[in-house]
Amino acid sequence: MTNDELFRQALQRQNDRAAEMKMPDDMEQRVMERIRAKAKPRRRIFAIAISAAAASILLLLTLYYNKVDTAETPVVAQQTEQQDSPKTAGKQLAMTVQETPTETQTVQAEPSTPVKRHKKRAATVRQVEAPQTAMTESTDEQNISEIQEQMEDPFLMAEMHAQQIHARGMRLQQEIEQLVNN
Amino acid sequence: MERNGQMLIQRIRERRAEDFALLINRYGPVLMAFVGRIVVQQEDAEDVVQNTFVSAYEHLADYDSGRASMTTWLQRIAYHEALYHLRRRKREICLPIDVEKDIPDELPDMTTAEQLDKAIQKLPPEDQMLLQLHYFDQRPLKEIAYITGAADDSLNREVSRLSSQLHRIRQRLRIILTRMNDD
Repeated sequence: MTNDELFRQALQRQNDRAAEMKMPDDMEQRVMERIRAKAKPRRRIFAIAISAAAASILLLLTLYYNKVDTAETPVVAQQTEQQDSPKTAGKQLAMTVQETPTETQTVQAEPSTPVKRHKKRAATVRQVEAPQTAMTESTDEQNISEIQEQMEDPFLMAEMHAQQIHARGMRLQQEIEQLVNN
Repeated sequence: MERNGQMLIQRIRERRAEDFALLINRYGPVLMAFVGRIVVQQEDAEDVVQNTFVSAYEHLADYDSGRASMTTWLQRIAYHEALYHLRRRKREICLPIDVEKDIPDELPDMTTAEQLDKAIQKLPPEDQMLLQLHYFDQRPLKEIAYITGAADDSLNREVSRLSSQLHRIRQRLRIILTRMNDD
């Protein structure tokens, strides 16, 4: 008997033992369950990654728009800085507004009355958004005094700021929705 | 079977995971018999075959029908899974036998199949599988090299390694059988 034949005979015994092993009936089910179980964490990781990316974009947009808005409204920022704190809102304040380079006018401000101010909100917002333009173009004293009144009232200014922030928030939300849809 | 296997793999690649169940049923028994050559316990062999299919599903994109048949590709995965399983369990501890170069690699005279079977069982699982693939399945060394080689191994280098490994295995078997006869 050659070595090769002897090897085949000896290995046949090993193969006979191996042939006794049968594949279990539920092998397919067990394998598919494991494949599905492995796929789940991947999906979860993918969802977390998408959420993180969305949050980053949101944060960047918020930071960007905050920066843009601050740069766009320097006059408003200056005027707000000049205002008194809410504690002195009730007091009568005098404020000087420069109408022309050579002429100045002193206007006596009235005590703040929030109800009255509400009626003028629309006009106020418009004027405060571009106060510099309004003051240079209009020579109407009434308009100037109205603006002054509004600027003197910290509650009204705070309200306007709140409106601006709200509008900015809405704008951001719309942009994010657009981004998400795209 | 292999042509059907090609169609099946194509369908699975097209993201039809349910077709993978067909592949399990078709190649499962073949793999059980293959793994059973070196993994003795039924439960262990089942674990190895399960791991093989899960790994095959994950690496389905790597399968190249030009290099090997579906069966050979699955056996390659099963071979490495089985060795990994055995190493992890540390059930097979085979002390290496020092072999001198001048020892002949022919089996001793009057050796029986039963004695040789016992001697083979004293070899490490890699060597047992190599003997199976070479002597019993009579596969070409290139195909064996594909099954046993690591992913980054060159096929020619692996063939050369297998050739000298077969020589060393025969020398070891001669030593084991001589010791058995002496006892």
